[in-house]
Amino acid sequence: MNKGYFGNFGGLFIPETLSYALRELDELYNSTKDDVVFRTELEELYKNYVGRPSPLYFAEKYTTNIGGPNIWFKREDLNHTGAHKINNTVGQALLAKRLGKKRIIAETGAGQHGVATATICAKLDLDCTIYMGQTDIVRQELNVFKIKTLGAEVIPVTSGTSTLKDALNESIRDWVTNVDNTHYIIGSVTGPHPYPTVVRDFNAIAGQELKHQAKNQIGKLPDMIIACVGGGSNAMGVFYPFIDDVDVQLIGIEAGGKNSSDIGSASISDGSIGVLHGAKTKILQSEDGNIMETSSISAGLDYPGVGPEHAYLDEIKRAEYKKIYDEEALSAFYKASRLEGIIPALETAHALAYLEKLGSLDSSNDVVVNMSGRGDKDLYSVMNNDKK
Amino acid sequence: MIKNKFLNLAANQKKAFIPYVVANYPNQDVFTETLYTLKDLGADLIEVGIPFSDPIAEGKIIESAHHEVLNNNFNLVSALDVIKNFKSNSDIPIVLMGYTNSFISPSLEVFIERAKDSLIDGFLIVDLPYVEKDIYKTFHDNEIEFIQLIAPTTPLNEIKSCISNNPAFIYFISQRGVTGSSNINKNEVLDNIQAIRNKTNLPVVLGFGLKDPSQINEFKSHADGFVIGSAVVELLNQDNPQVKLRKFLTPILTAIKNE
Ligand SMILES: Cc1ncc(COP(=O)(O)O)c(C=O)c1O
Repeated sequence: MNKGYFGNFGGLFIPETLSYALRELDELYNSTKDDVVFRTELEELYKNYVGRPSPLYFAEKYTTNIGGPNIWFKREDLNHTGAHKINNTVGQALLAKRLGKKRIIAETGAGQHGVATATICAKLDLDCTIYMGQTDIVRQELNVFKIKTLGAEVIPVTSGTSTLKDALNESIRDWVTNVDNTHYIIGSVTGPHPYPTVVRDFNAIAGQELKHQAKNQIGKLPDMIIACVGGGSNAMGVFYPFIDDVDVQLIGIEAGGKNSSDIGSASISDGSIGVLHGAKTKILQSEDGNIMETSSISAGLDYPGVGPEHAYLDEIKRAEYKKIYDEEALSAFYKASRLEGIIPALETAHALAYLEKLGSLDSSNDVVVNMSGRGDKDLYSVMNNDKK
Repeated sequence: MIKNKFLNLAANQKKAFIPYVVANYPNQDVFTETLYTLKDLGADLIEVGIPFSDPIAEGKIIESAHHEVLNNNFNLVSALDVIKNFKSNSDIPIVLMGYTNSFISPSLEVFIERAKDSLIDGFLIVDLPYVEKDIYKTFHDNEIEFIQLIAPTTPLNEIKSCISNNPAFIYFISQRGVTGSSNINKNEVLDNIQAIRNKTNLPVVLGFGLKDPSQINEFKSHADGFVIGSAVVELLNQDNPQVKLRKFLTPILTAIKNE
């Protein structure tokens, strides 16, 4: 098997100009990830800057309301900057420093990854440029302002669909041009090898903590873990430490869009095998291999591909992938807010919505939802949606 | 076919002129006329870009051309028909250039069958690494030649591996950047071409950001051919594209072909 594959998925389908930088990153990552100095630095940042470990919270009223299994939330929404994205950016920024690269670029859709990148760049004194589709700049005005406040530059992308995938294209073009002094912090478990592995590993802190917390607080491993899947980084992070625990059901939730006739952005459920942004994976594409314009109420799930390891977990049936539609996510958004006093991100609300569909589980079962992020960033779009 | 072309050129101490166009850009008629203009001007090989929604190695000019063609309901089969017709009137090798996903949709086998039916000679796939041996083997098995890209960032000790699939020639990317950039470092290019020559006898063609005769003259005694892309594509959606194309390419051809 070629390097960087998960079964049939993954690889490094990139212009040759970048292949050296990716190999360099791969080598550095392998020689650094267990290095004591690196681990100490990373753990210090996770603890005192990100605010880890994030709590495992028993959602008592949600549990009563659902009337089946016990519902727990893994509170990644309490991380600094309000989502899981910072787990990855902190780790990669430390790698960039070791690569001797002083300039960071990143793409962003909802703006969460842009904020998390700009944040750690401010702290570590790295020059930061964020590519963002013009459509998303309008939808996520507050995050654009946050990124600028943090001292980073935001470059609007107006080509193609002016959304996340185009921001990724533009980031790759920047990287091809400035590869000697620039590190690209990709925002999910997508892209060419070694990114899917690197981003997964930095996010796996959530799954590792959860394992520990579940043993202490529940007294056993959970029966099911539910996480939303855009590119798939929060899901991969929380699934990964449980892959060999085959009794733990792993459920990834994709965004279905408005309804079953909408294009949505459920690359595993509705897509087919293809190559996008450096990896062979499941993608939403036309017959002749052009990438489709997706739709979702949640900007962070609105992406026509998915991390290759998810495509693999789906193929070997180790994880299951389900679709949730916009309206179902919106009801879950309000439900969590009113029952638990926790306003979830719209991405996360997709995972929560699946709690309505658990069927046979009962009070002897424990279900953990990975609360990938908080909803502050989405209040404006939910408000506008309600006005319609 | 492509290999022979370079053998013939070398035997006559000539350099290859390789224009790049985008299939059906700006429309099928102009695309068709352009192929004949390029033939008439003396193109040695023509690269035809397959429009793709996410062409990550292209600069603005070529990216916009890809998107414009796709917005006009691009149909690969009809573009291949144009090429097939052209091939019945010309023996210029045609290389399809694009991104992996276009070549594996709906499947690699179907794509190759269509390409062969249209008498396509070779493929240049920007984001297909040499380690994907199975795919390259399928090309060989089907007698489709292909071109290997080498970049200024490719380490010297990787060059041998890069060409292990036996490409028809090497396309050396002149600079760090996307197509149409102007970032060429002359000495670096010369050093790199020399380094490649030290490892292989394969022809080495230069491309990315070439647009005037002075550049050709700088590299003429070092490279075996020159790809002119963005500068050609830029003219095609203007008025009188064929006139403009001739006017633009004539001095470049003089530079490439004259001793
Ligand atoms: C809160 C939140 N959850 C989930 C996602 C989706 O990304 P991933 O699937 O990589 O976790 C995003 C992306 O912006 C996000 O902001």
